[in-house]
Amino acid sequence: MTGYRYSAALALLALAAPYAAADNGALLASQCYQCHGPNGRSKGEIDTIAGKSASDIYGDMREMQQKPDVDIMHAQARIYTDAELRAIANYLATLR
Amino acid sequence: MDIKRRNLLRFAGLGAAATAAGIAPTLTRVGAVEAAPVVRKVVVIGGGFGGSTVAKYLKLWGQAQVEVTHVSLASTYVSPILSNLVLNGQKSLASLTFNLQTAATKLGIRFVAGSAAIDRGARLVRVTHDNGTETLLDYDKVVLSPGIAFNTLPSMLAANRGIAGGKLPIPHAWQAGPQVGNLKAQIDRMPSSSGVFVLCIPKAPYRCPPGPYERACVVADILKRVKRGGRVVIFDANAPTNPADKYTAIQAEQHTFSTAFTGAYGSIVEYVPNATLLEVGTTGGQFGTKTARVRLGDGSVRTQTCNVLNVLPEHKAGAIAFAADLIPVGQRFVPVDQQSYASLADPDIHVIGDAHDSKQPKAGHVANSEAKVCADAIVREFGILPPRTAEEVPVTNSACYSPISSTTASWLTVGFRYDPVSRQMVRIDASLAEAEQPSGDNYKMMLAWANNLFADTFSV
Ligand SMILES: Cc1cc2nc3c(=O)[nH]c(=O)nc-3n(C[C@H](O)[C@H](O)[C@H](O)COP(=O)(O)OP(=O)(O)OC[C@H]3O[C@@H](n4cnc5c(N)ncnc54)[C@H](O)[C@@H]3O)c2cc1C
Ligand code: HEC
Repeated sequence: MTGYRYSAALALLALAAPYAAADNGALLASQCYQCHGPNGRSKGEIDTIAGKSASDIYGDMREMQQKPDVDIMHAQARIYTDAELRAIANYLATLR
Repeated sequence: MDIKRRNLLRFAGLGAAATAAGIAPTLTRVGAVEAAPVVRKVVVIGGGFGGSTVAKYLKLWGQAQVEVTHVSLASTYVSPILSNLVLNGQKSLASLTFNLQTAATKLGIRFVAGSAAIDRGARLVRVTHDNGTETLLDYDKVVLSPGIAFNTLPSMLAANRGIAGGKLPIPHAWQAGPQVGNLKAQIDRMPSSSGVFVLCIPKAPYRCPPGPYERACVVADILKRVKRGGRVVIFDANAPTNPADKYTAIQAEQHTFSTAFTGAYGSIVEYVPNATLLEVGTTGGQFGTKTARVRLGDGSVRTQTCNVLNVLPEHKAGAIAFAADLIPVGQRFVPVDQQSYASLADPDIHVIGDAHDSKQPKAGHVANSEAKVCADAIVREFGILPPRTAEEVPVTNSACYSPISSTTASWLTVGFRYDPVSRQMVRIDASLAEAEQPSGDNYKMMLAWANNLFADTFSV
């Protein structure tokens, strides 16, 4: 390594759950963080989505995907395929 | 395996190039590479929504195998998002200012303040500091998120020449900073009940499609509430899609904004589409009188005198993208491979955010989203993660919340998915939605969204 002091930073990044295995759950889930906060931990009124069970998140997303409600989260749910929703839910469930 | 071998070869090339340029390469242990883990160098240029996000996620996903150097003009960045709330005093510029050095320290990356230029031949980024000294950075990849620059009318350049942003007679205030404070001061000085504010909107594409209409609403709200009257004249260079309905020239949230312009602000806002700005003039400086001369759709010319003239000039990519020769003649933004954001002119320079060319809007939330797709693509190209499978297709999302008054807001959201046939990021129609009406609840959600977006982007 060429020069930087990584130690403290690496510890912090390790806590922040690095990439798991070979699916793109980490990338897809990171597309929730703009609204739900880094690693799914919200700073305020919008719900924290880290640490819920995969089946809860997947169930919520499927339900929102299928309902015609005009709100921002229902629209967001319609972005993803079923396989993507599973990858997202599985990844978010690892962020305890 | 293939990827690894390709990178080894590339490293051999890098060593040679750096040596040829007379720079001591820090990574020439080509022979020893099998033993020591290879560390790839990425230089990220731009401290805004795209650049700050990509720097963070490259480190997060590349860990010790990626050495990230983050370069931006200054060690702080002021967010344009929420900056219209500076105009009505609900936000301060300080509350929208983020420290890039502090973020870098948290992330374990290096931050360098200064103006960057890319020497593609020598594979070097040259950073010129305020005091005239330079830092040279060699790279395996550059990620560029320089934002926008403007094609400004000669008469506007002349009116503003030699004057600092905080005192310009004709500000754009479309990059946050002193110009936003200037615009607020000009609004504060408008006379009660009889002031005129002119807003000139450029042809699309420009930064934040709903942004100009949002600004018109915030200013109209100030005139209505605080000044007890006055006018906002909007000259929009865009043409209606339906000639029978002028409000179809509005570039985003047509329902929300046409309702505001004809309803709550009906006695204040005059909306003029198809209006091409020809010339501006000023007398009396920052707080003096201004004029805008525009050509209208029917070919006639109108001259409007006003207290405040806020011109958003035509947009183009930040100057560094032109200097690095990444933009074909006649174009204004950088064409990229939309799976990885690699420039079509140079596969080792990735361009995200407002400066790149795609159907995704020029906006900060989606720049954050593009940055993650880009970081993922680079980490995979380095061989740190396996290549994407056919199912692992880039997906991004955009969201804008717009204040409509001091207590209400609207929102707009949409997703994009990579289409391998057209090789473009394509809008997912089912995911396109906008607020049915402005509300206080949306206003609260706007602040909550921005806090999370800022936290994700700037590590605050
Ligand atoms: C009023 C307003 C409201 C908005 N609201 C929203 C919203 O609700 N939602 C949304 O998503 N977006 C919104 N936006 C748009 C958003 O702010 C921009 O799209 C976003 O900032 C673009 O990010 P970027 O990384 O491409 O560029 P920028 O954020 O402009 O960052 C570019 C950075 O690069 C630096 N730089 C450029 N060239 C060099 C160089 N050569 N060397 C070193 N540094 C360099 C610049 O100094 C700057 O710090 C809004 C914009 C405005 C004006
Ligand atoms: C554009 C902003 C935005 C994005 C991006 C976003 N969400 Fe949301 N989400 C919201 C908002 C706002 C709510 C709260 C809805 C409400 O209260 O009406 C919400 C609510 C939720 C809920 C319901 C929580 C509950 O307990 O009712 C879940 C689950 C959720 N989001 C998951 C996700 C996941 C997973 C992603 C990424 C794939 C995501 N969201 C991306 C804005 C967003």
